[in-house]
Amino acid sequence: MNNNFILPLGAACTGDAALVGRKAANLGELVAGGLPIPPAFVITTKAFRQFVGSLALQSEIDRIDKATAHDLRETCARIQQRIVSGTIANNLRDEIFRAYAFLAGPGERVQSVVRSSATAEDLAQASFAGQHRTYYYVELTHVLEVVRQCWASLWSAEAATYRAARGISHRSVAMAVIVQRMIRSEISGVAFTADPITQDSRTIIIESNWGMGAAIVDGRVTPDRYLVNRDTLQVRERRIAEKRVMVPADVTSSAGLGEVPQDMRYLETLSPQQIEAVAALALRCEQHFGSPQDVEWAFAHDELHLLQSRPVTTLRRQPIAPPAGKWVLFKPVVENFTDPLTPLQIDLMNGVFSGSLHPIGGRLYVNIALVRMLLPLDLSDEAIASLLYLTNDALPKRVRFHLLKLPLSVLVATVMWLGTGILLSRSRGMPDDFMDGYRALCRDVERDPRLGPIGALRRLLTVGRIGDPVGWMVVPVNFGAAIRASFWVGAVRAMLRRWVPDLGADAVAILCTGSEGVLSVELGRDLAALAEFARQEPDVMKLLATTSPQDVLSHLRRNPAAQVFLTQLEAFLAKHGHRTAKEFELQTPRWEEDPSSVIATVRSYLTEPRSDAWPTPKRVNHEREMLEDRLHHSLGWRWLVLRFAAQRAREFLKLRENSRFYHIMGFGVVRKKILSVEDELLRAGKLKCQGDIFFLLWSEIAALRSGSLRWLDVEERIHDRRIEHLRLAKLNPPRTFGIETTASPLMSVSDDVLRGQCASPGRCEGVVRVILDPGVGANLRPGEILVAPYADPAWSPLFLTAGAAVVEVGSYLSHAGTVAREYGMPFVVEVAECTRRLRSGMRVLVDGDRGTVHILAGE
Amino acid sequence: MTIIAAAISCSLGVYLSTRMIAALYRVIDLWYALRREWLRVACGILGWGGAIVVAVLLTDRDAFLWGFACYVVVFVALSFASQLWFSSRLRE
Repeated sequence: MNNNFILPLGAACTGDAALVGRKAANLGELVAGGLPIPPAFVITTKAFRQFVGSLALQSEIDRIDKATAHDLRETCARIQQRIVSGTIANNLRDEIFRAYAFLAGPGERVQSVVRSSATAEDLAQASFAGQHRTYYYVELTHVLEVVRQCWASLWSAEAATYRAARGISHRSVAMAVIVQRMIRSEISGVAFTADPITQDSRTIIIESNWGMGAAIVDGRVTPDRYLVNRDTLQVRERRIAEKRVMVPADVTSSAGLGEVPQDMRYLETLSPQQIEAVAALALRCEQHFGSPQDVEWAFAHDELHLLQSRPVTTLRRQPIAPPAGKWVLFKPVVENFTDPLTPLQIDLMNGVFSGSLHPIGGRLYVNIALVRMLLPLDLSDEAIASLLYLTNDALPKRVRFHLLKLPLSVLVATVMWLGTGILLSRSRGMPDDFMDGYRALCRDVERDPRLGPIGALRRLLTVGRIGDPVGWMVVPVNFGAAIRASFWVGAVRAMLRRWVPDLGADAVAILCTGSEGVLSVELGRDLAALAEFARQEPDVMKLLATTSPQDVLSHLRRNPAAQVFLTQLEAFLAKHGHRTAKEFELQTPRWEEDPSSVIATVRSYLTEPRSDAWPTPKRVNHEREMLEDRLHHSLGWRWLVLRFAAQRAREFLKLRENSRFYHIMGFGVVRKKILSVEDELLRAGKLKCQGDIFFLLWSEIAALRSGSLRWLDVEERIHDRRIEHLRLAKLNPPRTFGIETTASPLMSVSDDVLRGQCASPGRCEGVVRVILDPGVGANLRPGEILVAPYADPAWSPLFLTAGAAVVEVGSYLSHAGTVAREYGMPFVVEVAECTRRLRSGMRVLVDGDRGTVHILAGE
Repeated sequence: MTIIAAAISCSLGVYLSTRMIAALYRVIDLWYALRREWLRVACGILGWGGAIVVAVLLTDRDAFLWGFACYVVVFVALSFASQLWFSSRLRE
């Protein structure tokens, strides 16, 4: 293997960077330093130059220097196309295959990892310019194709622009390629010798998962996380995640990402000795290079391997690039789900909402300019933003009408009424069960093989056909109900403020709650009933108490004494199984797919005796009747008006909750259709990993199915989008873009008092429990104060036992707010960073009336 | 009649057209429970039908009927247009 085109990795050193690229030179140094690097060879820049020379690309490359932005993109695309479709000379091809054969043992089938290795110092920094591409699961049959992809990445428009901006000659650049044996690891992960976010170097961060490391590196799995003291190499803190997926070590499997066996999901991946070994390895790399390192490692047959080492780059705490224009975060989505949406979700929602909502940084925003044009009020941008964000904290005390805008506003309102007036009339005054038929429609759509995800989306989640009953138009009904609920609640509030100003802040909540048949409220009560059922069955109680939620179902199925409880559980899932936490995101599995979080909640109910203080419809109605009696006597004829408004508010709040229940059902059907397409693509080898489909646009999925795109064409974009999704998930989305805001009045008044907004009145003192995901370890004890980033209806089972709740994002009219009021549970929303400022174990007083949280004692 | 009266009659025609269409739709909307809800459906149709008759008698008949008929056409057109719009934006 001693020739100009191929070099064993161990033969490379820092001085060979021009021949093998910087990455390969670094790895070669590590091999020489005795670090455990898997076997690899390098296809040198000489091979690259020979190949590129054979394509006679010189004239195209010369054209780039003088090209405009548009021409540059086209020229680069042509160059890339010629490289990707070019033929590697026979002699080079043979040498690559011979070198590849050395990576495997006798008779062994090996997969490889193929990495780009750029030559110039500056280019090595340009990781976001596509220079540092890594391809996994590469087999001999594809290695030439992947090598060409790596070479072609040198000529992406981004890379060419980057070079042009820095005066780097295009002719001077070259690309080497590392082909390395992919280790069949049982455990793998990454280690940082400095925190990539804070650059703190006192702690080593280790992340690990079962199987091969690709799943962590490109964000496909939430790994176990260890914080290790750098001096003692002892674990300071550990977070054991639910590890659902892994890339299995068995290379005969073509499924790519596979499921982690149930009994391994919550097991710690690393023993203390292994943690120490990984930490020591990472420190050796840091010592070798003299700077903090980001290290990829793997354990195979108890042997530790170093896969890659590179400098830690600050994990781009860059803010989201501000777009042109003025935007405010679309509250109805973010108060249910603060994470960024996946690309497929955004693509599908764009198709439905087209133009009215705009994705920025994975979240949806509303264009303020558009709203300003239509609103006949004289308001600043900040005031409009606060109105749309449902905080009203920047609204002036007196609002003036903008008379010149009135005609346009009236015209738009009239047109909207013409378009929606019939729907609004049809959905008013309907019996509670009028949307029940939607369930049968969902079943029919699910079973119809002619309808794919788009067909299901059109049929279930848009405006419906002219002959459809209104109960099938759950999305428009939901919007109409939300707007009317907002109006009528506002009317009740205004009347009470004017006519009975000395009434408590809870009066609005009491008058607007107490409707029977609110399905989100029934969710919590049905779960409580299921728990009571389990309490009657000693065998079931014992199983629930002693077995992990993930394993309980299989144990219950084997136990004849548990069959009655199982029937009840199945009935619960038949009614509510389409729900889940983060239910707005199509990527999230529904309870019917994975009921372990339902089991976990039932289990948490069983740890305490049933409480008679649990809210019941009777208790809530009684409070309302008492208040109504009082108001009737004090208001006279005005009571009739107030009562009418309160009835309307209750009607539309219930309608909004119930229509939400059903349109999430529609989401569930669309998800099933998408999974069916994913299954088809996985079996055909056009996708390698489950979950990847949510990081493609629908047009790309269609192209994959038709064959005009292949796995190699989409692999890079999936990788980049997953990384970007991870990055965006770590950023708090700005509330606005392009608007100057004054300091929010919702800041803390002191270190001990956090301020938010009232979503449900009442006061409660208790111990904090911070829960970031209701499906993961949500062991909320009765009376504890639930603190969370947000709360959608799937959190509502926790509301039954919580003493109060505090969230970072929410509103009075949010679904969680509605449920909290029905339960009579104090609920404070919009408490900035409450999940960081409050810790589990702290004692606090939640004052729902004032919207404040008082810290009484530390952990 | 004056232009204002005609405009009011026309607007009333549009409004009652929406209510009548909604009342007729109740047959479809409550089809699953028609045995239980037939009276409500019938009252809606008769009630709004009666309101239309009264309006025809008391207002500018031509303006009213124009408003009424135009809205029916607008409604049907919008229903089909919305389907076409979504079909063009959301393709399998």
